[in-house]
Amino acid sequence: MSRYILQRVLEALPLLLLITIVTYFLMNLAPGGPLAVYLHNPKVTPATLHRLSIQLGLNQPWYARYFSWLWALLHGNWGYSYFSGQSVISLIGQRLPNTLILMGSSFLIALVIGIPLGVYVATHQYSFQDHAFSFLSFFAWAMPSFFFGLLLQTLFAVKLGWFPVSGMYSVYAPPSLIELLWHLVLPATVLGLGSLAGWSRYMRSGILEVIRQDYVRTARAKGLNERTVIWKHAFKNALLPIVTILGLDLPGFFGGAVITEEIFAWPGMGRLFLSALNNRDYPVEMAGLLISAVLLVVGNLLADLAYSFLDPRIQYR
Amino acid sequence: MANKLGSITAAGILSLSLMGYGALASAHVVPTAVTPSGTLVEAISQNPDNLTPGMGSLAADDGPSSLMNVSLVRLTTADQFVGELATNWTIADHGLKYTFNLNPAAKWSDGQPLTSADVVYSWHYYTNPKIQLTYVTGWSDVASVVANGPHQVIFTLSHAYAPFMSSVALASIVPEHVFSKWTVSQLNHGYYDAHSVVAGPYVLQSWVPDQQLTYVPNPNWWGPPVHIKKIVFSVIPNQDTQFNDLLAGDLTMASVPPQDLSQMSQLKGKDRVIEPLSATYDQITPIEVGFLKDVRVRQALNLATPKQQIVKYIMKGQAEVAFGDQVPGGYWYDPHLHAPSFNLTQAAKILKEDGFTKGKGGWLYKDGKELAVPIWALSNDPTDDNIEQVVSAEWEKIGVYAPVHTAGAALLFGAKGPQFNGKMEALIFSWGQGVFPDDTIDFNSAYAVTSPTSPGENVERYDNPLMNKLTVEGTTFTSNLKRRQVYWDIQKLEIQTVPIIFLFWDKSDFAYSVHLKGYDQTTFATNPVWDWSLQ
Repeated sequence: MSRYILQRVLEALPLLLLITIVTYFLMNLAPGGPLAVYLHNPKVTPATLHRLSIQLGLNQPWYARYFSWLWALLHGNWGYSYFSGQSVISLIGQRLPNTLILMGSSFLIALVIGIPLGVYVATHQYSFQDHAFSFLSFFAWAMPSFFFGLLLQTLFAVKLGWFPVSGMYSVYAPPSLIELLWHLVLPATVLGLGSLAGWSRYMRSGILEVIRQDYVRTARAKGLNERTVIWKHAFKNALLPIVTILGLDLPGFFGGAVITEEIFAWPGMGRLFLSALNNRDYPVEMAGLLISAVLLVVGNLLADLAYSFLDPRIQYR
Repeated sequence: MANKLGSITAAGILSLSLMGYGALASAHVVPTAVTPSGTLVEAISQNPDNLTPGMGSLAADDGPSSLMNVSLVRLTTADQFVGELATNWTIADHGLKYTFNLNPAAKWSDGQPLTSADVVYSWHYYTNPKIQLTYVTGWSDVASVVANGPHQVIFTLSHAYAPFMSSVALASIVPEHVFSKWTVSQLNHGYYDAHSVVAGPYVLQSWVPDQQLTYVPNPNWWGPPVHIKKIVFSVIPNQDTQFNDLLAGDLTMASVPPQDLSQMSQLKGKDRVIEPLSATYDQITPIEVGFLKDVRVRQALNLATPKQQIVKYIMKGQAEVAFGDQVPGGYWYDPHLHAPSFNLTQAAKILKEDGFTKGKGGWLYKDGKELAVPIWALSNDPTDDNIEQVVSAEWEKIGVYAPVHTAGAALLFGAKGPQFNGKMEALIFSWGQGVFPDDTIDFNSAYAVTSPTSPGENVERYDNPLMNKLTVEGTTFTSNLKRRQVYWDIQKLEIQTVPIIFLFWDKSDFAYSVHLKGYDQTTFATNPVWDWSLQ
């Protein structure tokens, strides 16, 4: 197993290198550039632009800048934001915990409700509950998060006053766990609902597929009760497609959820990277893209390893 | 040109000014004992990027910076300069020498005295080529800054520079005893944000990125006493969320987005709403090639642009029709201006007299060439997208072929965009008038933009010798009255020769709690924080 992991990691290195080259090239190909924001501002003189261009190294060709960036990265230096001047690592470090809290909560909501719900409706196929759930899940899936977020905000924060409108903590009270949880309810619900709807649909399909398999029929023929048949025999096998999706979703947990973070003023990674993208803040953009790429590779690896756990027929050497 | 609006806004309401020098400052005020109370929460749309003086690039930097920093002078809501650090000043040698007397009570937040040495050091700081400064203007025109004792400083300019007061004298003074100990790398990499030593009325207590900045009164503040115990800038990027926060009573002040204006009645009793004109105008820039070089064609297009209807129906009255580039009601605005109204008949007549005749497709032709002026707007700006439809419909009524296009900022203002394809095009976007005023980069032919990296803002490539002369005079005359006459003449010339088609000035809707007393805001200034209190 460890040999397999090592092999996968070694295979990933040239891929990651290629990703950094392509993204750096494409980023520089895009019109504008880091200084475009100042270009036609009456308070920014051409001399200032020229000086900034040299100070930030923007007067060099893209490949020279790329190798400088890569060399610094290999020495543990992720660079500095062109705009705030702060180190990229500190910018990420300030926001990553917030993103993990939000994404983790929405993940929990989706997992704890979505998976059992998928199993439940699969075992009650064509019932009223199944139809009602199908309607609601497609509705939730189709609902744009910005609209749903504002809807919840208006109803539960403005009209009813049950939850805060935005932010992570109240301005008027000291930060506490209660404050955090109270502020988390609406954004985590908005974010979790989409995954909940999706995952429960996948779970439903997965269960429906496996409960028609011979081994499930055999389990039933052996006289096992329905709960044991579903949760012990069918559930584990039906999880395989979900595991793939979870593996692919992993980078999303780092990247944050731009729209939900924006609507609820949640100080996470999504807003940082959106702002970096808009401002052509290359060092911050590159960090975000590289970490996402690494997580994608890791997520896929974890999913592959989970397969062997869920299905003993799959063996890695 | 991307982010023009953002950039001009970044110039900052609080840092903008109109009046020239001459207003005498009031004598310094001795603070009296006042116990500040209450928490003021203001929404800002972005996380400030850098609070180090001269390094920020966002509008969101302005509010927080204004609480921390002081400059030699400040601008009042009546557009007058009064002393802030300076108690008074004189101007000599035909505008080449400025002498400021400093308030002897001034201190930094660490208790150290603020003296003329800090002002001299600020000059070195703002002209240091190693520091990554962005919004710094006018310091390069300063030949020397000399301290005459601890409380007097003399600026000598290399040449007369009329916007000196609104640029150099409004720049934040930096602490020599702190900055001189820091490395350039520390200054460039945001060290100040966590270790600021300031001379303004408030100090930064905490900054949670993308969430909030909290300010408390500066214990060593030397100016008039402040009345508010805590000021919080809450970073809320979405305007609808800001409005919901206002409705929920979580904010003391925030701007109201146009889409929520219909719900303003919900704020009644809780908030007051003011509508100062913003320093931003919407306009159509004709790229002056081909027929668009002809002033009569531009006059006709101007007459065929339904500005009143745009203001009434698209802007829902939240704007004022624009004739020129000076803010209506401001010091530089010419109140005697009479601009021609929307008149399709007159527009058609001008084009006919200019030799255009109807041809293939019903469009106008001259010398076998079609009068085609495609109109472009930013794809993420629904207001401008509506405007281009309306304008296109009217222009086509007089025979001008005006198809509409939308594009992202990168394309619209980029090298492959309509600015640089050599064809007649018209671009709709917002631009601003500010602090100086200085039309040089806008209309002087030396600043005609021919590539995305060209300096200046004369995108239309307007070329008029009289305008060239006036724009130079506007930045060199030392008499404020003479300068005002120059800008009045420029506004007349704008109406006569239509370098661009001015559409309207935006109104900014700003709501603040009824519990906030003493607050006032105009186009270019907000009254000082020590006038505010919470009841």
